[in-house]
Amino acid sequence: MARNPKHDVLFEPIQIGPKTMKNRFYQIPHCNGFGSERPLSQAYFRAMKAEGGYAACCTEYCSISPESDDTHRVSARIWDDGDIRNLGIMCDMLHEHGALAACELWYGGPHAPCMESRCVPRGPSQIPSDFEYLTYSKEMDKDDIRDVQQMYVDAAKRARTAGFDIVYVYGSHSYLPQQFLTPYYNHRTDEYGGSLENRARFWRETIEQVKAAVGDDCAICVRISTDMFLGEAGTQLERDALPFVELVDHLVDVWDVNVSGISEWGEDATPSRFYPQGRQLPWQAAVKSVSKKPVLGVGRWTNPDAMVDAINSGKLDIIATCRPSISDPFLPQKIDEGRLDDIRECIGCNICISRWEIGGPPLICTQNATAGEEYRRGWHPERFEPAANADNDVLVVGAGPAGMECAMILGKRGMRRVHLVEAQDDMGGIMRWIPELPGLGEWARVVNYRKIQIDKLKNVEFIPDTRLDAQGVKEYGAEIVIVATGAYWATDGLNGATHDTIPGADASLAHILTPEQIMVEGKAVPGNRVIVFDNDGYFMGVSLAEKLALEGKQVTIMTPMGHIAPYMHFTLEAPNMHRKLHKLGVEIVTYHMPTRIEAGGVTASHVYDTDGHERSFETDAVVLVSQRRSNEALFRELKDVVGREALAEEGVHALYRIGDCEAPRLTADAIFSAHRLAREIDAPNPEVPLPFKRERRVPDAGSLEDDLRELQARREREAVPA
Amino acid sequence: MTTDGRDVDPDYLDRALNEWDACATEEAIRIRERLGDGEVVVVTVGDAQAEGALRRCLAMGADRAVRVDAEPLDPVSTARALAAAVAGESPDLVLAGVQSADSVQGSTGVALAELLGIARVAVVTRLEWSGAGPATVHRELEGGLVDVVEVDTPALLTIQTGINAPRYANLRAIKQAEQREIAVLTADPGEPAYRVRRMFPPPRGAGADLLDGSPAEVAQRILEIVRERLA
Amino acid sequence: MSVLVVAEHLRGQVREVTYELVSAARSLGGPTVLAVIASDPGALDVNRSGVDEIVHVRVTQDEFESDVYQRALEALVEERQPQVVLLGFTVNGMGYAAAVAAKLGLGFASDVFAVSRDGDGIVATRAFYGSKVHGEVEFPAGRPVLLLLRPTAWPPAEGPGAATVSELALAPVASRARHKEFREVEKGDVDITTADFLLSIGRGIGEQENVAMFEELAGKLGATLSVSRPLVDAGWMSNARQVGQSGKTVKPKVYLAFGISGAVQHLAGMKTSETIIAVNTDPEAAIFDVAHYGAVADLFDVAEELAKLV
Repeated sequence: MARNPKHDVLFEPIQIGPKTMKNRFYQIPHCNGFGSERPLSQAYFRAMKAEGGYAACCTEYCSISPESDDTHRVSARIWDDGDIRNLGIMCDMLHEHGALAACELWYGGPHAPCMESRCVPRGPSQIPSDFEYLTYSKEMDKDDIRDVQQMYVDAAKRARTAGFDIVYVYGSHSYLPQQFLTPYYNHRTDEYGGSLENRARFWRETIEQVKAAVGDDCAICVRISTDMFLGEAGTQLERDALPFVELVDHLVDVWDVNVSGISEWGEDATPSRFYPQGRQLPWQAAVKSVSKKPVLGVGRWTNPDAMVDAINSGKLDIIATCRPSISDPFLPQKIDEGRLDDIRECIGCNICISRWEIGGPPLICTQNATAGEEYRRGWHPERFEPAANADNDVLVVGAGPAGMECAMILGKRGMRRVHLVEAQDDMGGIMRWIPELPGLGEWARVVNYRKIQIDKLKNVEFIPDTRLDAQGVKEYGAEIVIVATGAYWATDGLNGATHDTIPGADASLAHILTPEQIMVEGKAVPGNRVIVFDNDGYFMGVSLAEKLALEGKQVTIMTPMGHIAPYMHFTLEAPNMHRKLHKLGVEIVTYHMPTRIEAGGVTASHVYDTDGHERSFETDAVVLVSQRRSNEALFRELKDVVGREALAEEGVHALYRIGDCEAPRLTADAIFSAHRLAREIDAPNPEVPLPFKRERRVPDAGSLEDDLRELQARREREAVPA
Repeated sequence: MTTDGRDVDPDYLDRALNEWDACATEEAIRIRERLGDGEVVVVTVGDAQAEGALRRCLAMGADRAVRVDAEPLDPVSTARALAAAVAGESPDLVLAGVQSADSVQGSTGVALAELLGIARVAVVTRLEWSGAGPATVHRELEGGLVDVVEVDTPALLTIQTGINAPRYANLRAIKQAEQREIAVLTADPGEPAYRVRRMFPPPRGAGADLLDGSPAEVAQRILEIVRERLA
Repeated sequence: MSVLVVAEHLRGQVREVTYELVSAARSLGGPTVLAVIASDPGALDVNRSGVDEIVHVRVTQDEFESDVYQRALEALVEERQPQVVLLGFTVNGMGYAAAVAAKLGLGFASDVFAVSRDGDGIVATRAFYGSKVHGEVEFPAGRPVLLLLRPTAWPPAEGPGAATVSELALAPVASRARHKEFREVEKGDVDITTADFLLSIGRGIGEQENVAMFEELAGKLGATLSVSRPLVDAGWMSNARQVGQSGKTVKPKVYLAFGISGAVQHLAGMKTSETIIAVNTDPEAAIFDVAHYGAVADLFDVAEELAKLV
């Protein structure tokens, strides 16, 4: 297949300062949990996108000083020679694929808690962060300003040494240079505060100094939030951002334009639940209208026609992606080759971001199980080693996300025949009905992609409308059986708070419902008042509440937790979700645990109450979102009742299970478990994951001795006071 | 394309059982199951690679498979190649697909019926037969109207998709079918009814007949086309 | 070159494809003979411009029966010795044409959408390999060629004709496959894969509010509403109505698309529809590659006008 000529513009090179990008695909700065201290994971991760055709890839936010330490969250660091060496590996690997390397120099100011370095950050004014708590910065005097600007210069030089082609003076989402620009952060009365010219001074001077230091060798990029959506106090497009662009345009080689502040940066990294693709175009176009330099920007870009439109209509020069590059590092190559139906589209769930928000874990991706595993497990999203035991037939029972993924990867590994058998009339499992919840339409891409891929695989056959029991599995004729029968929502109120059921909770009654009963069976929700009991922690409770409220019900969400849907804070969906529920009049009752459910009402007590007080809540219906249970009956029967010997007599010499039927989990993890089994189906014991590489320091005998000697010398210099 | 430009290079072709044949095979197996008696034999004209489709039918539950080793060119010569093999089975019913997915001739079955000298009905969407005597079939006309036809047996019926949902074969059946013997016969297809002079990729955009004029005129034309096509 | 066309009729009405065959016959030049095989041939009006001679073949059967048409056509071919015989690639045509070709050893091709003279003979064009390629075919010399022409590939002949009328006597035919009755098919639940007429909307309709107007139009036209994937992504429609590689594959008689650009995945789900009509403001839209009819026009204007007409 060949590229559609309509998409040619995406492959035109573009000059940025002293450098040239070979096409219009740019991987915007984004986190992966690897930083400078897992350098190979970092380098292999970024290089995969370069291999996939990206013309430039950027680090995550890259700290220029121990004063800018975001621990517990993981940033990159460029403090010293070790960091230069480590990040240099990333630069080398990107260059090997013809891509430019970019470094997003970052100083967090009051947002950085410095929990490892224990340094004190400096900021324009001493106001605690709106993103963290217990963070105070030192209010900067002129010496501090010079010092920090020098940090940028020194860091830029280190970046150049490491091999970076582009260096950022990063302001968005509301880091130090942008803090100076923004009245919300900058209450100064000297020449660095007040008027726009004053507020712009710090940033302008920093750009000048960095450009003077490295501008001949590196392209200078400035990332600016053009609107923080904080009203008068925040950065505003017309009042602050556009004049600033005009002021420093001559210094900048490429603009990275986005929106939002840091505490609601879901307005930038837009969940598909709330925003469509290309949301930021109006702001990006505004910058393009006043700047003479190339402009790049994100928009959860997955559709090449939309990308072409954005460029041809003069709104953007370079298509930047974060999440679509995670779900498919080979997006550019697939567009180039006209293989649009092979693109694994981002679903905008923000699971990747949630790992950074939690602070610590490496990123994962619902659509792409290999994201983050490029080095750790050596996985490549487009390449598959032919299975050593390929002359086996495989039966996968259940075509939900895990079943589909497993069948697909086994197909790509060349297994002789794979039968994906499903009781329903189509693929998808829970991902058939979850996308029917309000706003989640794009999540169906999990199914769309796998359906198309499986359809293309000649060795994989999809068999719908077939419910296999243990006998059917035994007689099926497969040598390898993989059970992927998913999970269901508890019908009895069993939950993780009390580890018990709830008296009166019985979903066979008319007034008690589970999510599947509503979404799949179409069970009617009686009456007008509904209580959604939610101890799940993620979206199911609030999404059902939204759906029922939209249908005109009076909804109350009750949870024993202190927050509803706490995980949605990590996916950046919480603020807008709360706004929606608030607007719909959904009542939220936290810290309450139902003690009894009856037709007509729920009795509950406050979780911290020690006096036995109970509250009554009248209601017509109760929806139980208490916890999930694995559908393990088939697996249990095969393993415990039929037994491995009897199976072996029928030719089945391997039995595995994957996904939710093993243990309910995030769809990303269910897909991962399926992917891993398929990658390791020919390992000596596929049930047990092979060890993955851990990047850690293992000191050799020599360095242990050096450290010890140094410590002993210090002890000798010290005295214990009398 | 092949170097003489008269065909597509076979390396680029994927072989599979087409959905009409799958429906026909399924219908035959269902008749056998309903009557509790009878033998389902599947026959095709083609090279060794055509046996994959036959084995698929065996995996579904057909009893025997026969391949006539000849090149299926046009519907009439293909029917000639089939005729002896089919006649040799003395069938009560011959089922064929309405058309194949690749060349959409829609004609081989009816040509075969003529060579066998038996009755035929094309485009059958429902089949009732007691096992002896005439069968009652539904013929699906354009626009969805059903023509109820009584046909004397032996008869050849060309089967339309939608008459049934072909069953899937499990791995056991597929593996067993791999081991089955397929009888191979030869036949002379005789002179072809047409000869391909050249094949070429369809010109881009050549298909659409452009409707010009004001929105009202376009709408008028669209309505005419719709009414004609549904009539 | 004389061309014989056999008329198609159903329940006393001549089917439109008959007039398309006449156009095709005219394009080949030479006299065009149109045969009407019916219990009352005179009651069927086939005297259109382009028909030179009408031949009535009176039979006892009121409706189509395969053996009757075969016998009648064989008699016509024997008597009139046409060089070319044109039938429609229709359910009726499929019912007997190949039998005649096999019996008489004729040149034969089906689903032909272009035909022209080639020296003393003719050349026809049809699709191969699932319509991925087209092929030109030629025929054995010295005998008639029987072609089944693709419906709607030629415009219907219009205007009154000045044909002479003659009769061909045919001995009564005892059919082995006998028409008993007609039945209308009941429409069950909405299932886009079984609908005859789909009105399909795509991203081009703009806002979610516009879905309603197309829903209404579909209702008025007697069409079932279907959608392309972007509308399902956006949550405007359930994926039960989604046409495409990851939705449903459909083959309706008519697929009328508004604002669908024709992404490969969508085309895969509908390109074998019998008649595809596409309305899109973008003349480069890929859907025009598979459409039988296309209009580069404003969807809302056309939709509004259509609504007025029904």
